[in-house]
Amino acid sequence: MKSPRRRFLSAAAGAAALSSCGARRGPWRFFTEQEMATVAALTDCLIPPDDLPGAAQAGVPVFLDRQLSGHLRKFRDMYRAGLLELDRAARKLHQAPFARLSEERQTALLQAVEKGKPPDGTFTGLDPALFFATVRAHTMQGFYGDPRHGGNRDQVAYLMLGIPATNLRGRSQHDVRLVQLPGGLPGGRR
Amino acid sequence: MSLPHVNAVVVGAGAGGGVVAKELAVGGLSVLLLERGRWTTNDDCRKDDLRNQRTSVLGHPFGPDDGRHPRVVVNPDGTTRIVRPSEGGYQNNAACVGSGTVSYGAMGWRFMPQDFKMKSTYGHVEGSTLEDWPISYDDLEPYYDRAEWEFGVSGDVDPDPFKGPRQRGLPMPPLAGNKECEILRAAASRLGWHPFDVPMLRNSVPYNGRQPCMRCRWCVGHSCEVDAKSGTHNTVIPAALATGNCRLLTRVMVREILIDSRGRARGVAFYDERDRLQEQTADLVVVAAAAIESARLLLNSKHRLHPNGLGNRYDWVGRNLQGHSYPRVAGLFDGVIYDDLGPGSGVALCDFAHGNKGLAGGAMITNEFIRSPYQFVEKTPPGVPRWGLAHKQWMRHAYSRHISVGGPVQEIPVWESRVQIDPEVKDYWGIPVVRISGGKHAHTIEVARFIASKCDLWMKEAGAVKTWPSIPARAAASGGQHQAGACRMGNDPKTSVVDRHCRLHDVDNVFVADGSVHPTNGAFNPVLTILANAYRVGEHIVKTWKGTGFRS
Repeated sequence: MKSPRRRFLSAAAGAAALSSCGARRGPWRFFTEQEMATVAALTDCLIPPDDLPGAAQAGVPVFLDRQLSGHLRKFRDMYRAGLLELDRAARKLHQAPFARLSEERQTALLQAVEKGKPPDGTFTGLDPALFFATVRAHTMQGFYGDPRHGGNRDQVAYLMLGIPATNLRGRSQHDVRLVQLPGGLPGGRR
Repeated sequence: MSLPHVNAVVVGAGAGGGVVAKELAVGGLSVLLLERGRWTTNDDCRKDDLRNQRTSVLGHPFGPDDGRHPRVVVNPDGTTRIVRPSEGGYQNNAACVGSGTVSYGAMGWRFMPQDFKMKSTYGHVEGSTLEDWPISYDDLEPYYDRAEWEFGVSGDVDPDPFKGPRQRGLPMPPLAGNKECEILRAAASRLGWHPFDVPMLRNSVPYNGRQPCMRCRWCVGHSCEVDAKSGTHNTVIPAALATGNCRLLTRVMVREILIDSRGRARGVAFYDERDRLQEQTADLVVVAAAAIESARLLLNSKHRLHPNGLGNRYDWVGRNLQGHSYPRVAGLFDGVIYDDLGPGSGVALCDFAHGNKGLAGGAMITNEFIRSPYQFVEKTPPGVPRWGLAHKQWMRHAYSRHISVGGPVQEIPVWESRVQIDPEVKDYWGIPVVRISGGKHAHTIEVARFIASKCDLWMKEAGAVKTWPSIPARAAASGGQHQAGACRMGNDPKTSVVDRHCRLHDVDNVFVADGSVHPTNGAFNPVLTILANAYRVGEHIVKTWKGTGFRS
């Protein structure tokens, strides 16, 4: 179950090692590497891998990183604070950062955050339920939305839902491959 | 700086403004058509699930831009918040040449005769401003016909026993239904209802020099890749420009209607695309900026003789803002339904648009346009987790096996649902912005629940193994793409803003030609009614025009 995420993280770490030059914190536009580890774990809890990729392997962290430097810019402070608090909560409960917890513990902690009941002394000055709802919505957008934005890599969500891959439209600076559905569409078309 | 004089300035190149500009230009008047947005073409079709006029979580491609066009919304608890066009509550209507007609789903409905006579059909509804239109279905019928044939409507309304009298059928046959249409059509017939093919402002065969629909899944919210949807941007506006009498300026923002010493309009002041203030003098002004912005323009056009804004002597400008309240019922089926044949919506019935016992009005009911995967994420039924593996598995199973039906419930207008000018917030150009407040009438929600019960029945008869409804919230103001009201048409100057020809009661050379003149907004998508009424207004202006002024 863990393997896709591990692969994602090690790829990220490799990329980070290549580009470690002075002020740059890592290969990402917005997240630090530490934050990215938390984001990958968090989004994988929201959409876990099964026989198909979960959120992390489908590029949702890339989507978030890109959009937080674009249209979702106004959520930057919330992400920065929320990810920090999530790690603080994880350390407080289990003496380890969020990304290192077992899936059960990650899920239990997120459920508490979703209900607005994080461990005492964490999420001060930040509405935990709002943070969770925001990340959840953005994660779903990344996974199920258009691949051009960085998530839904290889159109994995469309493949999973049984709908044909898209031909990319528009003046395209975006490189998205067309994926053929194995066995054609459900319902027998094409 | 002032520009060469014209006969008419038309503010807004959307549904109403496009038609009026063309009618006046063909009638020989010199016309300046002003639009705050840009031209779009079918090359602008991006088919982006997250960035379109319906799902704007990553922005909305057809404007207005987030940076320059704030609005203020009054929350149910009385506090206010500033909203941007891509955010919920803004009540956005696209700002581009063609406006909503570029990116709409393109249903081309006529209202039914009762839609024009809500008060005399159902009587007074307590706490409402329900009223009849000053014109009837029969008055509008010839213009409906013109809109259907000049724009091009496909469909087959013959089997609808509830429709008003028509002089002829539609110019194009319907598109073949997709799988869900066939399932729903059979189910409705078994229930003794009267299903038929939705009339669409969409080519099903080549028409007007444009191609037929290619059946893709990105329709409502997107511009059309093959230009199969008819809007003012690919019909009447090019026709207006071709006369040589009409000039179109895009990316300009009208600040106010200028008023002379006798209280009549003498033109408009606007900011051009380089933000320079320009003055355009004209013999008459047609306001067609959609309900919210039309009300804003009138309220911002103050003068010694019109201290509360133009046409606002009796405080009716901005009142009775409405749209449509959509109840929807989704259903889960055993087998795969999804066949990737757009646009999705195709079968409708009018059995519950009127004549529902104990209720005022109702709604046409139809299947929804194809839901994007992300839209379906937010339709999770109660009992299914909102995230985690179970949610992923739900999506995987249910997306291709669901159908959703619903309809535009005719809203009972309320006085307190309104557009005002915010005392503080201004837009990029320093023009005061609107403040939107109020909610829906309780009866609107009652009708929505009734319509949802019929949708549920339809789904179950079609074979749904699980159904779940969504009912619109009462506390939120209505508007959006279907925005209407705010400049009511009526015979009594004390209880309306414009007369039956959509001329301001107070000012004889200012007209309003968009959805804002609708006293009630019908049980249907309103665009064909806006187009038809704009033909009627345009024709009236041309007929009474005598070169320098109006015939009495």
